[in-house]
Amino acid sequence: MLPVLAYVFCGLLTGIMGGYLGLGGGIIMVPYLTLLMGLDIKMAVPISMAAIVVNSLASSSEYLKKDMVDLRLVIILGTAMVLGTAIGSSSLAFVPSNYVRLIFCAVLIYTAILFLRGKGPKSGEAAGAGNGRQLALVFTLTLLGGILAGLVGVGGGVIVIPLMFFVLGLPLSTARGTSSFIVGFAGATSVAVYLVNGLVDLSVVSPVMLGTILGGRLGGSIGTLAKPTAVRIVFFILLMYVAVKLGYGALKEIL
Amino acid sequence: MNQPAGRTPLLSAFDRNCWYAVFAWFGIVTLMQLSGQAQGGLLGFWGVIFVLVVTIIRLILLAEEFRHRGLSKLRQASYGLILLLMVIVTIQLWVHHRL
Repeated sequence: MLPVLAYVFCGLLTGIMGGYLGLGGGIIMVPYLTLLMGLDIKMAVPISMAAIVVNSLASSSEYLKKDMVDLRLVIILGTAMVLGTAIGSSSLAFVPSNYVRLIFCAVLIYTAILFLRGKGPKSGEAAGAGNGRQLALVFTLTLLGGILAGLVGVGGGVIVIPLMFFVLGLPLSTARGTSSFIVGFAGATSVAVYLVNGLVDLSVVSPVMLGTILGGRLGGSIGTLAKPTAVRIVFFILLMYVAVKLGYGALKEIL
Repeated sequence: MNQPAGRTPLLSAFDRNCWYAVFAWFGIVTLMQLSGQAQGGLLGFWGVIFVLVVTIIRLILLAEEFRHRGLSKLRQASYGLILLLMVIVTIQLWVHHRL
């Protein structure tokens, strides 16, 4: 009985954090399942991916209700992210992933510092930004980011939110709302493959999904009311955490 | 390009109803697991399938939302994304079965 409730709590926690920030929540769920619940990483990743899809459904509807989603970007960047993630995960065997991790780690630290310093677009810039050239740039960067995400095994939210915020000049709230849709579409592809290949542990997935669907709704509601400064600080901590985790793992294997 | 969703009643209503359905489904399965019933696993499998079907329907609704707004290129892109998802899944399954 206790493990089932612990899985529900895991989903709840991931849902709240993921929904609040517009991320999938895999960077919270995978360490929880492996370190606290003792699951193998190969079992944890498919469950995390399934939870990402549910979290997207739960939190994006809250953002949609508050008009915080750019539907055009959902399709354009969603296509780039899905394509990139597929290329990245397929080319895992041919690329020296440790060096890719280190590059990705540097990008994350740079983005985290930008977030903390609050060098985002001013509100006046946001309304006029996002022309065709910028969009083409963001599409290309999302594609590359998707490849990196597929290679290092993280969700797309940590890549696509900074791109929409810094390059396209979208308000942080809209960037999070739009991202909450995109990560769901990108995650669905992986879940379908995992499921058909029997890699989803069905005794774990249901309580996790229950927690995530509740947490995602709650996180989405809090996220629509959150102050940008608070979100930036949480983002900084999360990006630094992912960067250190990836960088440490890569350096340990290289040295 | 930086425009919010605007009114998307169909998609919002669909999301809302699906949230209740997914919550109820996994709630029942979790209760079954807590009471030690073996059918929980099978129902969990169909729950995940349901969530994937919902994702595809959301994309279709998004495409139709674009059609209402006269954004035919984005409508095509939405259906293109569905096709892309299907192709990726098919290729990965084919590769997996070959290996």
